[in-house]
Amino acid sequence: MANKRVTIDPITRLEGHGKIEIFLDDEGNVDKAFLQVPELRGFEKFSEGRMAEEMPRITPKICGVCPTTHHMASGKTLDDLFNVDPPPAAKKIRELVNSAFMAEDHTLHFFFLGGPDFIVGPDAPAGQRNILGVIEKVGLDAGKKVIEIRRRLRDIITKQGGRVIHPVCNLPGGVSKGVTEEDRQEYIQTGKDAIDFSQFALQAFSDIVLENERYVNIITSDVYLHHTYYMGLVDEDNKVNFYDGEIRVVDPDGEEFAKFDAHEYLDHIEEHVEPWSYIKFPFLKNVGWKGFVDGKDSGVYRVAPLARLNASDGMATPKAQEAYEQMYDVLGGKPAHNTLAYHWARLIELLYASERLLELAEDEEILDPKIRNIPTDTPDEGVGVVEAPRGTLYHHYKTDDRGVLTDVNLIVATVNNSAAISMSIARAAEKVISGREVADGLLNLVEMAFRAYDPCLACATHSLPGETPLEVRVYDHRRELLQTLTR
Amino acid sequence: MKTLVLGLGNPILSDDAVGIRIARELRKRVDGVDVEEGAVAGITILDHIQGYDSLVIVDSIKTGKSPPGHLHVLRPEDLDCVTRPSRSHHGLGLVRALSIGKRMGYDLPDTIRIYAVEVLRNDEFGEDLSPQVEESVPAVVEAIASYLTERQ
Repeated sequence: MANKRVTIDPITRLEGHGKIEIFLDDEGNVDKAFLQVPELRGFEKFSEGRMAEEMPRITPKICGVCPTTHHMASGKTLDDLFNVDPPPAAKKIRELVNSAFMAEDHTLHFFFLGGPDFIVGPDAPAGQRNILGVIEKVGLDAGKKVIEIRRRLRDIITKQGGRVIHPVCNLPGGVSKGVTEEDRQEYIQTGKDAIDFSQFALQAFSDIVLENERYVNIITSDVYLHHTYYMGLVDEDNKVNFYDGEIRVVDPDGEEFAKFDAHEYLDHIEEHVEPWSYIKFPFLKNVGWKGFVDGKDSGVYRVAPLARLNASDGMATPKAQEAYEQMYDVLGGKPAHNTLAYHWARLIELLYASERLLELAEDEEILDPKIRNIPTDTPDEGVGVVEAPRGTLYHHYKTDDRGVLTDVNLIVATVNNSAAISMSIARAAEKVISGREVADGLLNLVEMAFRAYDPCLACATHSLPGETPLEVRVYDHRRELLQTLTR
Repeated sequence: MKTLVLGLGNPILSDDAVGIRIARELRKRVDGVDVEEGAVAGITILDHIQGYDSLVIVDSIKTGKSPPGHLHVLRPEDLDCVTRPSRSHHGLGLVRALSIGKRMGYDLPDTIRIYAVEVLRNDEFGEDLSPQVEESVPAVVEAIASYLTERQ
């Protein structure tokens, strides 16, 4: 097929290279668009032959952005691999650490990365759409609150995780460190303050975004709309859970389509491969791959905050539940298909993570010194699933009977969203590309489209200088360069 | 004076680990300074460096213009020329992170020096450095150790 190609290509790589390519058809209109998420090149091979117990220490290093979540998924996979159930206190400690991480990471995204689009304004120059622009809008005191609460949430991860950046607390059958009463009191206070902070963030979102008709129109516009399936972990009451439960999938009408245990993930998820790309596009096997299209007949599904809320029947904590109901009231019911509502959902999850953190810290069982069951079974295969800030994260290991890894498969959070992200970029690009002409605003529209997903292009490197400038390359249908746009 | 040496990089991503390798060597060599290692970037670096008077960052760099193993000694301003507004998923450059940190009232180091080692391979998993990068490690350790000694 004759087509043209637009590429948005960061020159340097900090957290991997996310390259955006936009293919035009022979009429010069958008055909498809793709975000190239870096593959974990060689990670499986790197892991094979190692002892499975090393994985909770190795996998956090895949990613500079969500090490804690990989540590959690890996710990759960080892429990399953060695067939050992951690004692209640150990599970609670893990969930406490995970909740602190979710709250910290969502705060980072909203205030530093995604939020500036709204708080500062979608039309503001790119140079102002950052945390400084946010502070000008919400005040310096608010900026200090952001720093302070993130520091205290991170303190919990550091104390329980044992390390500043890459936690090392999870072992097959439990954790390596219990909670002291002194620390528990500190965590309780942090939980309370995190709840206040979350409510402040939701209020700011309401005042600045929801009170502004133009912003609401952007959120609800068809530029940022896709009717897809949604996936997320839920507890026994179908409430959102980040650490444990079953995976639930709802269809574009919000009806339950599937609910399954981690072990069954391969019965439900398949990966589509395009010849021109090394990215894999997971889709729902039992719906089938119909291309980069939405609707009930297309197996494209979405994960991460809005998807989790759509895939659940509610939030397990009272204040978050209230915020959940309010969001769906404003957006006109469930499921909400508006991609930009991911930002709102992220704040509701921030509130949930904070409330859950407090619940866990207030539960005295967390002080129980029994924090590990020693594995005695012969290992063979294990699967572990958790919710990462950016979506459902799957770890799957196979070993020989000595526990030496023979096969490793990971589906990292952002990869689940890869088809949907591509569709969102294409939709945004369609608005400004017509008959080979690229109108102004492509970078802004595309940026807002993919940033809502908080895509983690991490899973990769870190070399200086550490910026990923936005560059767009336009190719004609013979794939020859027509135009380069750079920010 | 409170000094932090921060070795940056990914320990399982070939040459990307060079900053961490050097930090580990320095930890054995120097007293009176804190030596940390990690894979932090962007704004989160502020969380680790606040409260220090002096900061030494050890990292990998890929300019493609120097031979692998070449040591670039830089100040944050020197990186300014190669940084541009970020597409900002999580990739905020050091210079912008520092300027944001200052504006937000973080207590940041007055002196920052960056030791960046030119690398060859930083996009594949592996625990070994390229031979040229490996060979450069002792000299870089020596250079940083003398800088730290001079300042104390």
